[in-house]
Amino acid sequence: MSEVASSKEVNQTRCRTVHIDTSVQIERCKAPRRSDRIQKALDIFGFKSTSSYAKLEFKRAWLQRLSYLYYASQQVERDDELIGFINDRLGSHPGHRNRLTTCLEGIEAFLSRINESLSPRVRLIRLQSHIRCAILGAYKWWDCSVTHEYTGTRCKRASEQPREFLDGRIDVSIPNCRRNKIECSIHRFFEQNKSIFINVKDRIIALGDKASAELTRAADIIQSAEDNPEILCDNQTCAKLGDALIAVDGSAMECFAANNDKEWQLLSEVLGKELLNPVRSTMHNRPS
Amino acid sequence: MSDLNCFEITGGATAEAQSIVAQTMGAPDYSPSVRGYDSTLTIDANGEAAQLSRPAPIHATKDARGILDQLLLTRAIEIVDSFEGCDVIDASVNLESLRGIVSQLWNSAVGSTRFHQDILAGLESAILSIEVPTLGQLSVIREALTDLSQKVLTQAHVEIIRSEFVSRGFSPLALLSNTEACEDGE
Repeated sequence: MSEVASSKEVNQTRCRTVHIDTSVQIERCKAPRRSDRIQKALDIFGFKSTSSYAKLEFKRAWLQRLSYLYYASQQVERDDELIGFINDRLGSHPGHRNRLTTCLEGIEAFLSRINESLSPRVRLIRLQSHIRCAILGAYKWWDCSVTHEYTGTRCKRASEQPREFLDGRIDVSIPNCRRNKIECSIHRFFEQNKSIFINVKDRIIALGDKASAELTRAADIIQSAEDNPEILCDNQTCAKLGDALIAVDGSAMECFAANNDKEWQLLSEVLGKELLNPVRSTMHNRPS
Repeated sequence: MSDLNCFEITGGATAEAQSIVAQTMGAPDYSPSVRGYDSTLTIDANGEAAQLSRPAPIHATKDARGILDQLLLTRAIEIVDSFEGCDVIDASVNLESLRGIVSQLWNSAVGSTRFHQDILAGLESAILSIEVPTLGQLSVIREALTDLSQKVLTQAHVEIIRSEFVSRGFSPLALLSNTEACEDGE
């Protein structure tokens, strides 16, 4: 290949832009066996972005659960007591199923790679150190994983990175947000992009029963926010609009990368973007 | 490697024996006052095996607090320095040895500081997630090992190494994630 052709190819690669959803970001930071395929699919994009709201979801979906695992590890004396401790507290409650699954997966993944010659106490210290390392290094990884992070909603909770107290406890809390103490710009972000959100809502309504439960909830929230955007300034409410917020935040990008097709196919169509699912290696072209 | 492990688990050796092991392995001769070694050691023909005939006294454990097993660290650095120019097979062998040493370092890390433990966790996570390290990755692995050989570490050491690992493509979350094929999104 000539130098000129090579340079042109590099420039073309640089021009491609992608906006990455939480689901793909989570897959990207997993073990190489799982993340390599995703990284390769994203390598064609010279500019990768995500949204600060995706970071909040990442914190809630993974870091908070690891934080619980860390807490649990401090309540037992040996690593082989940990699963019992977690099962006793989370196992019987259906609402804790996702949290339980994440904790057990974390323990299973870790145990599959450890040396059995270490004593249970040493293994426990080792597990605690790895969890601490994972939680406290996660935001750094996040920042390095993209070229740019859009912060349209100015989500305060997303900007609060995990921290360690002097006594060794880790703070990954996400305090409630309330309308009587607004600390973000989600309401202004909604106003600025109101027509897009209304388009999203109309498309969801047009889907009828085929719309996922998550999309239906999002349509209801958009409907309510049309008259009063400040209703979004509540963590219970904004969470129901998550994917739409992330998508609109990255509307300047050419392509979306997400792993939850049900929601993102509709969002990509409304915003006129290609949709890449790097986890399953599928690409949906933008509508003509 | 398991012999090296045995050496650390049991907690010490006589100064003379330690010196022999250190010289055979090309490692510096560590003072008994640092490690508090005070036991009988047997060494095999290669000089790489060490086995204690009786448990180390309590004071040895106290003296060793706050510092990781220096012999293991020295050996690990030697292995890291051996990657240059080696083929894929040799790299796999080296990496597996490195993993074994890092795993055994946890025995002495239990009595060390949280900063040592954090750097060791980052190091272990990194070497468990690669098949063949790049030069850049080897550089940060070596840096972590050098830090671990320090008796006094600070949060700044941890932060710097953490940044280095991330910038070299290591994910701090990799070791706690499943590796099965992914079927669906969040």
